[in-house]
Amino acid sequence: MLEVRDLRVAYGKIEAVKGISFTVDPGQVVTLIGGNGAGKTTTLRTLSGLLTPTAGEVIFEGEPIHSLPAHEIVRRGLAHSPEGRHVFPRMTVQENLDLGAFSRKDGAKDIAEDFDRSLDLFPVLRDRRTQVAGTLSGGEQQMLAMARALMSRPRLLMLDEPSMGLSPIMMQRILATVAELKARGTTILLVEQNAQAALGLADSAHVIETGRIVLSGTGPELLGNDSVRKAYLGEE
Amino acid sequence: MQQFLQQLVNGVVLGATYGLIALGYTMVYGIIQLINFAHGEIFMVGAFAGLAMYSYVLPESMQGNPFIVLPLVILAAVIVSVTVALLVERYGYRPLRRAPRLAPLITAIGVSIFLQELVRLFYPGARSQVSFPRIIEGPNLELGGVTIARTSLFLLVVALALMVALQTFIRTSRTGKAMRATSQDADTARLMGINTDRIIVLTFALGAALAAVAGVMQGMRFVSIDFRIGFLGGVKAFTAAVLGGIGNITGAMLGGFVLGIVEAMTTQYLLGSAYKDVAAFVVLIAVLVFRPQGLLGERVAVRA
Ligand SMILES: Nc1ncnc2c1ncn2[C@@H]1O[C@H](COP(=O)(O)OP(=O)(O)O)[C@@H](O)[C@H]1O
Ligand SMILES: [Mg+2]
Repeated sequence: MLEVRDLRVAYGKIEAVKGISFTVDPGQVVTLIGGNGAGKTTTLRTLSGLLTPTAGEVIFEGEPIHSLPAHEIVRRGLAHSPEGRHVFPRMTVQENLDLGAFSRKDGAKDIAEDFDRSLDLFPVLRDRRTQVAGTLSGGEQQMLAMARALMSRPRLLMLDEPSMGLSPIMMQRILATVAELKARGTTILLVEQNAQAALGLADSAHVIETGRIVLSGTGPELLGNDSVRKAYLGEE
Repeated sequence: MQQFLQQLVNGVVLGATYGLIALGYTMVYGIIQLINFAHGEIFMVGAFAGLAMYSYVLPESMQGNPFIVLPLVILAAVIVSVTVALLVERYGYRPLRRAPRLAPLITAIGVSIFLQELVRLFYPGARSQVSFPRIIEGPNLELGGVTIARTSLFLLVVALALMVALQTFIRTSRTGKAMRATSQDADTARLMGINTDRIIVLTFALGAALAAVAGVMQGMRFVSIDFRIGFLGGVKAFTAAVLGGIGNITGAMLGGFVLGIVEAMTTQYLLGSAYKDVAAFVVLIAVLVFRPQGLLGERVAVRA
């Protein structure tokens, strides 16, 4: 479904992603873990077209997308819920969700169905449809960002740090939702600081350090790996 | 009292023009955080395009019929202003979108001088004042001792209608929503599938069209124009936009009316017509010092 081949991305002269390759198959949850500044967000922003790679290829559903503009990429079914949530702060919950469906060409009926489905997933948002998004709590904003990404009816959903900065309870709720999406068969590329939870969900996982993949395996494999346990799961 | 009411009406009419131009400043700022200092010249070019349509295209037999003249003059103004604004955006500002903010600002000043000189050198007679047709003839209207010219009343109605239409468009239409999204968070707007380049083009086009209408209004009201009207009109409209809160659409309209009224009142009661342009500058400085976010603006954090 998604194939990333030797991707390189630079900010000016500084290379942040130095040749990354991995694949995501339909129905899979693939996770990228790694410390701060490893290049995870840069990778996702490149996949969704916000950044242009200096080298390498991104093949999505059999077609190269690495030179397409971002607004074309979401049309093809690659949705991105960005790090830091980025809801539209001065718009209502409803308007944020409408914008999530902006790229869709199918009818209002299908969109309304997905709207209901998104709100079923996040019932709190239902009561807050007319509330301005900037006044939601962090956890609610995260739910809105995820619901908004789902409104494009993506084939592949990219989530960047969905539990970042949330209370432990809210973090659990968000991660439970990711698990539920997985159970429904959603294909997900997940970047998550909570490596324990991410690896628990992942069919396949990659450890990134300073712009390179240093270790790959299934979720359980990496959960059992000594160096992963030391570096990312806080064990001695 | 009567004099006060008269000045109030004069101020509102004046303010309608400022408000229309101010919308262009504020919308462009809202979308790409650029003060488009060439916008005053877009207004000036619109006035000249409208005049050219009247003087060189319309046959004399039609010049007396406002129902033919007005739409065509406004159409010509809008087409030319929008075209010029889009060329400036495409070749002046777009290549500099990721450059330091000073770069497009300097470009804007260059474009202003270029457009002024273009009109001064090539529009027949534009080195000094050129007369502009009144288009709407007929005696002034009187209401409770307050006089209002037919032209002014027409202009006021058109300006208000355009403002309402713009607000409705931005609040409720799909494209309006995309404009708001782009102004709040451009990268995330792109993630929604919004072609932000197209939104930027549309924003420049809308602003230019409103300025063009204002240009024709200015000509009709003052019955003459010259290549310098863009500077003063631009500065005053910019003041209106800052007064209302730059980036805020309702603010730009409100700022326009407030500034128009302030100008009319100070001219009447304080400064006299020789100093009528001073009021705008005093307002601009006062706002920048005491309330930089403007009347309706939120306090904006300085962006990194
Ligand atoms: N906008 C930017 N400009 C310059 N350097 C950046 C920018 N964003 C990220 N970087 C650098 O790129 C590297 C990777 O960052 P990022 O992709 O955000 O990492 P992660 O998401 O894994 O924490 C870091 O060294 C970071 O400092
Ligand atoms: Mg990150």
